[in-house]
Amino acid sequence: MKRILVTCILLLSVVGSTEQVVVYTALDELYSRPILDRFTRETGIEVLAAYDEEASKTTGLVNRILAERARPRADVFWNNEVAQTIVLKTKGALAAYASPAAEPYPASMKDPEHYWTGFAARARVIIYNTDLVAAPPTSLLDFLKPEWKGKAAIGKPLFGTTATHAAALFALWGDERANDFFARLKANEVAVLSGNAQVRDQVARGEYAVGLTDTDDANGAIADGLPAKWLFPDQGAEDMGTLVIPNTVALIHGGPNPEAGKKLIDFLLSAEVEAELARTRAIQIPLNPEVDAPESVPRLGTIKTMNVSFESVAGKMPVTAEYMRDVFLR
Amino acid sequence: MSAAQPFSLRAAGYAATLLYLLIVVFPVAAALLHSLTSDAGALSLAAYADLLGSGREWLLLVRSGLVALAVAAGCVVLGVSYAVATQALPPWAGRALRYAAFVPFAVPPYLHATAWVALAGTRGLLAQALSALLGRPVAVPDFYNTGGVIFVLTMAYFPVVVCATAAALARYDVRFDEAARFNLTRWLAFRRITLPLLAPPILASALLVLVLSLLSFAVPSLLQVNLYTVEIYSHFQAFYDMRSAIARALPLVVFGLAMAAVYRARLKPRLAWLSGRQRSATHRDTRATVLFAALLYCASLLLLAAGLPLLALLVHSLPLSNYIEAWATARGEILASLGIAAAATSIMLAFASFGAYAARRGSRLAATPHLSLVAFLVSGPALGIGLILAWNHPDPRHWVYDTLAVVVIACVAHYLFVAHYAARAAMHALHVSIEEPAQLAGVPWPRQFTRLVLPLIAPQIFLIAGLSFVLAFGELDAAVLVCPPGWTTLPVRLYTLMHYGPSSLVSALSVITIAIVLAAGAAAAALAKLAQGRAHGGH
Repeated sequence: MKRILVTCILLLSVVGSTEQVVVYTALDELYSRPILDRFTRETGIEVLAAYDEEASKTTGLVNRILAERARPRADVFWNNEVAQTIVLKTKGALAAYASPAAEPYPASMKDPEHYWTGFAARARVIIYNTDLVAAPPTSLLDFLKPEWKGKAAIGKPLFGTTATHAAALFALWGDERANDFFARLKANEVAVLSGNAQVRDQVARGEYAVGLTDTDDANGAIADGLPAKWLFPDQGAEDMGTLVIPNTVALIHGGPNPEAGKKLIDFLLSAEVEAELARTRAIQIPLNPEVDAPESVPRLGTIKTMNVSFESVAGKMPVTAEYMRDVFLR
Repeated sequence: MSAAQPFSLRAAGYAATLLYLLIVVFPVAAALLHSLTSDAGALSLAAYADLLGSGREWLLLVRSGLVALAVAAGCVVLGVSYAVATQALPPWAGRALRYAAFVPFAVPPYLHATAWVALAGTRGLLAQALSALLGRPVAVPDFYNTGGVIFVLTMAYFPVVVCATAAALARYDVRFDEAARFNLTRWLAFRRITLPLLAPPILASALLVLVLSLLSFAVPSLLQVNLYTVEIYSHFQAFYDMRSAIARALPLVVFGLAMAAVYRARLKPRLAWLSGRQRSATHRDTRATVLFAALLYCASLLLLAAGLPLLALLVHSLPLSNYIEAWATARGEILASLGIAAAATSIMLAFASFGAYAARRGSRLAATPHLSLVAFLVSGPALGIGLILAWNHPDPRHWVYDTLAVVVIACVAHYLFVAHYAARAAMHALHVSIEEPAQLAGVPWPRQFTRLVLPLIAPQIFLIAGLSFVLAFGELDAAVLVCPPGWTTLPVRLYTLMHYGPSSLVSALSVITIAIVLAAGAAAAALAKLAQGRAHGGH
């Protein structure tokens, strides 16, 4: 009934007292919807949300925002990763907004020009089946070892955080070394599954011994009582560190409800929202040091993170996507 | 054909043409124009130059063509043998099995893929059952490959050939056989007489399967096989390159139009060779062994194509509380999809039936089915881009874009050609002399159309409605791009959930989807039967 009423309002273009905000969100609806519903309850602002299709993850919404540039329909883009938000910034689809709620966040996790702010992060982790693996790999480079030949799985590297991770390696290592790594990965018969959730499922089921996924998916396996554990890769003193990928929130340039959009951004960057996301089975890692999260949730300060700028990662997305398509799609 | 065209009919024809251009042609033209311009708005062929220079993608297109050819060949083998087998059975049994063959076609291909992975995947029900039986892990063939794509699409599309073959056999004049057998052996009579007569409709259905297979995106995507349609999607989704994605859709359009031209030039004229005389029941082989073999074959194929996948989904969807959860989770999406499909079906029927009637009366609407075919052949993402470019503007067009009306338009634009061609065929079967007494008596054309023509083709109209509803209900590729914030359709929701892996909720939603589609098909068939009885005066 509520949707029908909203649709009638849109159809008649009646400017009434009902304030609205349109958000395109790539974070799983399971986690994002309760937060958006709470925003509506607290502010009275109706939220119209478009969620992404899992198969393509973020890139579907990114392209939709780009296609709608002549008349943006969305006010806010809530991404579950960062590189494609930066792509939107470079294409002029975002508007700068220095939210007061962004103040506590680390400088490395927000745009210096205030086009986006990172929060509630995930990390790229190694998941392994505890029934099959006694000594799990501790580095991405271990996936090239003969003992893991045909036993490892990754998500499709064209979309989502797997694509971001691949681009990060290209940015960190350079094209030549990254090309070599992925070629050897393919030669070691790594399985390419449709997404991080499938990696989790198939590792937990024992179809593969180890996999590369995100903390939210990996923790889901543990929460479900499946025989799986996960670890942060490359934590040694000489190692490259783990890629930590924040959610990002950004104001869309030319959106229909900019003031409501700013209120939503302020809300999403609040400590309460990060705490709520940390308490879900996704255990999103709080980046705001003021957030009080459960003990089981990792804190950013305890992780050796990959030393790579998100801007350079975003810059590598196109060349990485082309390489991944040529190498990994059957 | 009558040349009389009252002014009101011409005016209605122009209005319908304008509406048709807005709904079907406008988005396709917008997409095409976008692919031919740069960001600065200047003419640019960069997207097409990139396509022409990409040897990899032409190889991919050839690979996709070979996969489609394999599917078409498989469908011909299965479809023809199934239809011939049903002819060997008592008429009531044959009819029931031919209706049952609709079930695999009604199930969206991506649900076939889901069901088979749940059933026969490496950790599917079959592997689990065999492992439990043998007490050790059992390796089953991997579905995530080209063979899996060919198998799934063959299971989904072979009913198309069944339908065409059965219709051809029903109109095959057995006297040709009888005359041939005077001088020829059974084999030579089959090769020189029967086959040339039956081949055109069978080949026409094979061409349709070929095109449908080539355009299939969801199945290769789900089974992680990189075919040409997946490549189009990759260009759009992973490279942010809408122009490139649209340009890459054009080879599919050209191929589809080429197939349509082949059909029109080589096959359509030969369809008339089938005179329409019913095959006599006395020519059926009534030996028990033949009956048993035919029944066993048809039942086995139906079990494989529909029974096992549906059973897998049903088993995987239990307990019943999953259905309650599915309804609670996706109630809005189910109702939205029903509403969209109903609206799209109504619009398609109105366009198709009026368009066919107006064309019959000499209107320029005769050309519209060909343009509808282009809209069908353009990939879903390209059509979605075109809809955004065409309708997302600050002027009153945004009243369409900001509502579910844009999703309705997506369904109509994508599938109108099916209704168009079917309505034209139905209208063509009516002789023009039927209307002449009414015209001479001065009956206005709307009354002729609604009180005379439509009732006579009502059975076909109901079947077209059923088919249009099924197609519109399953619309995915374009809808995912234009669905307004706050709304989702059931196929989009289901496709999203599928990528988290097969779950009981996904299976429950899949069963609900299939039930709705089958109910729509059954309702359409029942109404068609009822209308047929009334049209024949209850005889």
